[in-house]
Amino acid sequence: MKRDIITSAIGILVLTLFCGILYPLVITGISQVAFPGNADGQLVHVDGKLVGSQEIGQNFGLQVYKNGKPVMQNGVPVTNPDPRYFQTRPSATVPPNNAAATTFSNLGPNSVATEQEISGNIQAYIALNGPYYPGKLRAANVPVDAANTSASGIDPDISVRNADIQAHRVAAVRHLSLAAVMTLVNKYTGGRGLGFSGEPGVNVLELNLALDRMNGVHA
Amino acid sequence: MTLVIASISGADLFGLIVSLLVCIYLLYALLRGEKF
Amino acid sequence: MTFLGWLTIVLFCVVLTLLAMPLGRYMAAVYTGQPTFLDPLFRTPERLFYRVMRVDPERSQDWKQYAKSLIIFSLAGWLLLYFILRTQTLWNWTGLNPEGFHSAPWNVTFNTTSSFLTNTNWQYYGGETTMSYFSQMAGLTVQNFLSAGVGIAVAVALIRGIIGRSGKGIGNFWQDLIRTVLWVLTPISIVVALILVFQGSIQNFSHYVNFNGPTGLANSIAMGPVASQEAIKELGTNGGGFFNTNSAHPFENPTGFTNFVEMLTVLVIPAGLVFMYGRMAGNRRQGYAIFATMLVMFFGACCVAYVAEAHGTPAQHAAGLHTQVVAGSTGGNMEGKEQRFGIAGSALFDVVTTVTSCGAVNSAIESYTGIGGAVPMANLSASEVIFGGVGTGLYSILLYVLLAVFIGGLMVGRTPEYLGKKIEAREIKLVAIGLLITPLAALFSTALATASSAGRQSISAAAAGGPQGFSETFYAYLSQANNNGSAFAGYGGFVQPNAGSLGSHGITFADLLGGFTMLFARYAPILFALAVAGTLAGKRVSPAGLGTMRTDNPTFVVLLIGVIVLVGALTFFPALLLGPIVQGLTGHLYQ
Repeated sequence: MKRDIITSAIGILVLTLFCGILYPLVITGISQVAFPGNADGQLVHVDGKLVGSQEIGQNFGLQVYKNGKPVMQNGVPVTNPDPRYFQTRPSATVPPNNAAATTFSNLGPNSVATEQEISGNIQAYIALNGPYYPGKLRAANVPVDAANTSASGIDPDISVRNADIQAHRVAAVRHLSLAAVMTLVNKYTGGRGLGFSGEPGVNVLELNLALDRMNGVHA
Repeated sequence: MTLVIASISGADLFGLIVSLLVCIYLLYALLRGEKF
Repeated sequence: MTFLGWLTIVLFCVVLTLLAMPLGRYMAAVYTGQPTFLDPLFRTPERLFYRVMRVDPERSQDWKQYAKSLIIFSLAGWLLLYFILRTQTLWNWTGLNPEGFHSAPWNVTFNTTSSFLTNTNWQYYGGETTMSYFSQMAGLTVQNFLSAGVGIAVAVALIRGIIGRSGKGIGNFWQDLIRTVLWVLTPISIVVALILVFQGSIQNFSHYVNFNGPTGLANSIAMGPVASQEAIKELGTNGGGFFNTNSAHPFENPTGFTNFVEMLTVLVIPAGLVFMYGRMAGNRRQGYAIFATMLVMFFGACCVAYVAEAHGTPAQHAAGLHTQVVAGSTGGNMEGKEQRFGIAGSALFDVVTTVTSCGAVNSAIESYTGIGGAVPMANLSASEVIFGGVGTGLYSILLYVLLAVFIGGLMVGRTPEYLGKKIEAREIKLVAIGLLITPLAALFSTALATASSAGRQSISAAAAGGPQGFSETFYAYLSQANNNGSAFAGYGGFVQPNAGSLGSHGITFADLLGGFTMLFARYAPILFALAVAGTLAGKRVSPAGLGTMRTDNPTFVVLLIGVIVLVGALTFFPALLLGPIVQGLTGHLYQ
């Protein structure tokens, strides 16, 4: 018994050193040397200022002002989607796309709350993109990823179909040709892992930054 | 019936206690096995 | 449903098998003391550990001594982890608490500590708003290694008991633990961690970064030593994410490729242990038979989950969405799923993680369809023997094998015997109790939590009015009892208004009931598994005769599957009916 206690006490300490200090330090050391950009989060800078991470989805919205003051709801800024930019998927983090406090929506399959949330997302999507879409945009042609909340709340990708629909609005608002926008969409569409694992997704941040460059907004 | 930490309806509490007793009995029967 | 989706599932099964076989051969060499190619690297550290810990690795222990060492070591681990988590700001001097988080309250910490000790990794907290890097590294990552080591040690001890022909010794706990950490867990973790960083996972000690996006909105991104923890989280079937959204978070699981790698990492040791068993028992066909049992049930679960999620939910349909696959869109139920994984990549991950005691998620289980959510529940209801957790899966399925042998023996009117050893009353009593502990713990805790108002406090507001609320509760205790750790994440135990835990409080009922359930349903079965090892060790082996029931042919596989399904179904069908089955059968929307 006493032997076990001594061995346990010493053991837990040395194993903590090995597994909890040495191992992560070694991995960090190798990672920072071999893959420094990745290890720090694939951060993106524009004009020397940090604007986000390639792997993290963002809220491309504009702060709503009323009488010159920003509107808040429960301490969270109220925003409207910026029509010049592609929009990411609905997010349940507070504020939307908060990458320091990720959360699931946890909306169940059979609840009224879920149906209301989805309908709300559909209405918003149609209100934003419908006016520019050739033909009538209805709930039936809204892609599921635009109406359903993502898992992480910071999903960097949208589906190709989602991007295709939004492209009409973006091209019109930015006075670019649809073909030019679609070329960019294709450029930033990632493939499946090893050709089969997962789904293609369009990286919204990279796409939006490329659009800004095309419009001459940033150097 | 209200316990200090939680309130359980009488029916639920009865069900819980009965099932606990049945489980204990079955365990006892298992361990005494051959002697029945 | 798409061709590539089905291909992913099939390819996964194939690659898993191809990886598990050589790993099984390697692990057999590790635990029988034969030379391996990593010996030059680890022999010296191994000797060093024994010297410092005052261990005599040659000292063989009987089952009671083995159990005692294991329990005392686990207690030491529990106390150290509780201390580390409750003194979080004390470690600020290391520079590993850049956000200055305070400790979570005692009840949440009780639950978290019990959770990581038992390989569950149930998290009532969100990592990036609660844990400092020091806590994640020196606290949680350490238990990710050690709980995996403990689980594997028990499995190896049981194998030695089953095949042992001389004396009562079932091995040396300390040797098994150190060998597992050095030869198995560390090398694979290093490889996986580096693959993850290569694909985009992060590994740093930076402050969280603040920035303004292109439209001027302010935002922050959490940072940390993620990849190193992620690797052992999956490899040791732990499941506790660095971040709240676990493997859905792009920093934990950046691409479709890492998704595939992470899923393989979760199952590779549990699958490998089965092949290892066949080798150590001198009967490789026995290993194949058990593997086949697991693979058949696994594949079945994948099919059901994929079809269910591809169908979409009543809520989606009521809102007018079309959930068929169309060009450029995944279709299906994308609520709580990531675009880069799609339906197949999420459903497969969900099955992988719930057939074992992993419990990591890359999608929100709470948002799955009724039937889709019933699949993880069914996996858990099978007491995680379909591959199962590292070690726990194997020793659990071996108990089922003994049960199946017993039932088979009764059916043909012969004395049941397994690998030449008679299975007598004493053995079967231990097996029966050992197998029933976890289901009973799950059901009792669920009943208590559902019946009492204190328990119902944890149910999320959106779910409180219907079967979803019951599903949340049932899943919570089913998951904790099986030491899985996945959750219908609306079920709460920690109210945290601010990051850093100031002004936060735990929900004591849920925290304590969960903590005790996890501890009881982990250590009690371990004791019974070791006791079975003890009674079988040194038993006389009689040669196989004409009347011996074979345990390595397809007939036995069918019998084993039947026993597992029957025990699980009889135990859990009523509970499953009340929650996910109702949701699956109705299109009705609940308030």
